Amino acid sequence: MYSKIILNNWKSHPGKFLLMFSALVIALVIMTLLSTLHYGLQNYFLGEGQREKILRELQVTPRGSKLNLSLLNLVPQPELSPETVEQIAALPEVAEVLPTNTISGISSLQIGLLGQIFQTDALLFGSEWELLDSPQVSKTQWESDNEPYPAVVSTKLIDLYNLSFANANNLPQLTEANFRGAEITILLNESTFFARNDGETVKLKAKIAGFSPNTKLLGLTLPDKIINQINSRYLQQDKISYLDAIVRVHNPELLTAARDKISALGLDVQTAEKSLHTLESVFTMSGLALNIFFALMMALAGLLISTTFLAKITEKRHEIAILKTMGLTGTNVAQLYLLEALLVGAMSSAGGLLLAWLISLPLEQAINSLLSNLLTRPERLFLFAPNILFWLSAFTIFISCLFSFLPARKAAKLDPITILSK
Amino acid sequence: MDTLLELKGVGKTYHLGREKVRALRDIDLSIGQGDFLSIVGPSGSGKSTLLHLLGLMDKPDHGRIILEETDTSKLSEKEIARFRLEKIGFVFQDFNLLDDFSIEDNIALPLLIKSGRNTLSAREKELLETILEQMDLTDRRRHKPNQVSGGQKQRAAIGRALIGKPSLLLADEPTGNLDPHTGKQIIGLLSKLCSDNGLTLVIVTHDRQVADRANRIVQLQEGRLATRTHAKKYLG
Repeated sequence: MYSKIILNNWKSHPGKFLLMFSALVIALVIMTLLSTLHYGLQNYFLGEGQREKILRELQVTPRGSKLNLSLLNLVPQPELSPETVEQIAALPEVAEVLPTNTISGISSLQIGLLGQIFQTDALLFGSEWELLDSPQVSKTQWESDNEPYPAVVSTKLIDLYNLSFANANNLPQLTEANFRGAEITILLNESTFFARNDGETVKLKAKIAGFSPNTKLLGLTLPDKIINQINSRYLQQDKISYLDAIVRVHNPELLTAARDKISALGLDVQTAEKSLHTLESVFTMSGLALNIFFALMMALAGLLISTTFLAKITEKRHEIAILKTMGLTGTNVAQLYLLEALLVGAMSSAGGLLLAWLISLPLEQAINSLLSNLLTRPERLFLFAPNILFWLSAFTIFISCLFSFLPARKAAKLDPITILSK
Repeated sequence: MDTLLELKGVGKTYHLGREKVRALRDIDLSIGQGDFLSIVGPSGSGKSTLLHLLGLMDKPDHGRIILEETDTSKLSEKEIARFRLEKIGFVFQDFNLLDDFSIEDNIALPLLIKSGRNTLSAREKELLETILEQMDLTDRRRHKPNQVSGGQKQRAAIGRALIGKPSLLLADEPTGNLDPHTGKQIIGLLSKLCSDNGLTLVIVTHDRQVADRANRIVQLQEGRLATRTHAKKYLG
């Protein structure tokens, strides 16, 4: 019976209903887009898989190593020996050890890009396939002994180039397509920067097979086996040694114990725990800021609802008085208006969520096309998780009911005698 | 005739700031089933107040109102509302129809309030049809109140008051906003319904001719019952 009264009112006077509906829908659309974007980014950076990965990994380097200077052979380089790697692997907390080796001495690379041949000094690293996390490169491919050797570029390098170098210097943006399959000539013992040769130049062929988020930023990564072979065959370095290693523990609870034990072996250990906590704090704070913003926005919408209901009750006081003479109690009248608020809230939340989803589609496309040259970006920017949608809906309905409570009480207390006597 | 409604020592005082207005003083009144009673009196004599008390829209400050052997002073707000819904029908001078409802929806409203549903049952629909026919509003059923005449509005109001099959029908100046011819028709209709259905009818009126239609006239003066009479002539 209440819904009949409510729907009749809406049909006859749609203005007030549309005003309340629009206010809530607009507020909800903004809240939904911001929430789902926040959640999408949070999930990308701190999603369960990502978080777990960060909390299971340690980076181990020989104590006192200075990466850049040692690689240019300007200072002697501390090394991680195979025996040390085995010691680490033997720890009960450790699931796997993925060491990185490097070419001894200087080398440069020649590569054809955008129709031009570029030559530059470059660092060459060697990694096991398990470190790559690159879907483009198969294990079989990585284990090949033949030239052209498979090589992997860091995804972050391309993004770095595009974001900071290409834009600033009006250079063309590079994409995966520019690199994949590109043939590279490795020139051992040759340096363009220092204009010197350290011995007879050896030319080796490599081909870019894919991209990895885990390999070294500055340089090219080849199979570790190939690097050892190159060191042995061309650079008279038979002794196998490693620059550093990624150590993965069985589960995050074992991270601290593993860190302490590896540190006791005289090695430097770094974890991304602190960075993770910083990132988590950033998301927590931004989430808090968003919630404050949402609360303010909803409070504004709620005030509009309250004002509209009060105006409506003033307009409808005659009708309320008639209903009371016919047998409705004050409680019934209050229930009537609270039900109306509930219906407005429910319809607004359905409409708002749908509209937000519709808006997010072209918006996501537009953002993706702006970021199309970035290799490191989330698959979905706006993540419409069921729990977010549920809480947004519930909050909208709650606000609608909350801000109609006082007007409903006012309606309940109206005296039919006073009103009908006028 | 059985007593339907009894007022015993009923009084009502209004407080307007510091001023006390004694609208009714020690009213003793008995209304039988099937009675047609007119309440008359000058402006400010307490007629409307008495009607509101009879309709359980207000509570007396002292005294008791007994409706169908139930002491209403002992009822809760919910029970009083239920009583009003089931036993009392109201007809107002201003018709007081709901503007957003059609004529038939206005008439059916008490049934919907009683059942709590949005639609009428088959039996309720039959009852609605009967009332629409009795009130000669079948052709106007889907019209809104602002699309029908004053007489039709008042007939709709009467239909609404009667559809719940109340024991008591209260009318506050039911012809006040109607032309004399239409007013006569309305009173005739009310009178007929009263006699045909054994309905108890109480009308508050200034109109001599309306008052004379009743079989009992009660006169109020300064909140007291001035006279009670069975005479058909209005003692103005």
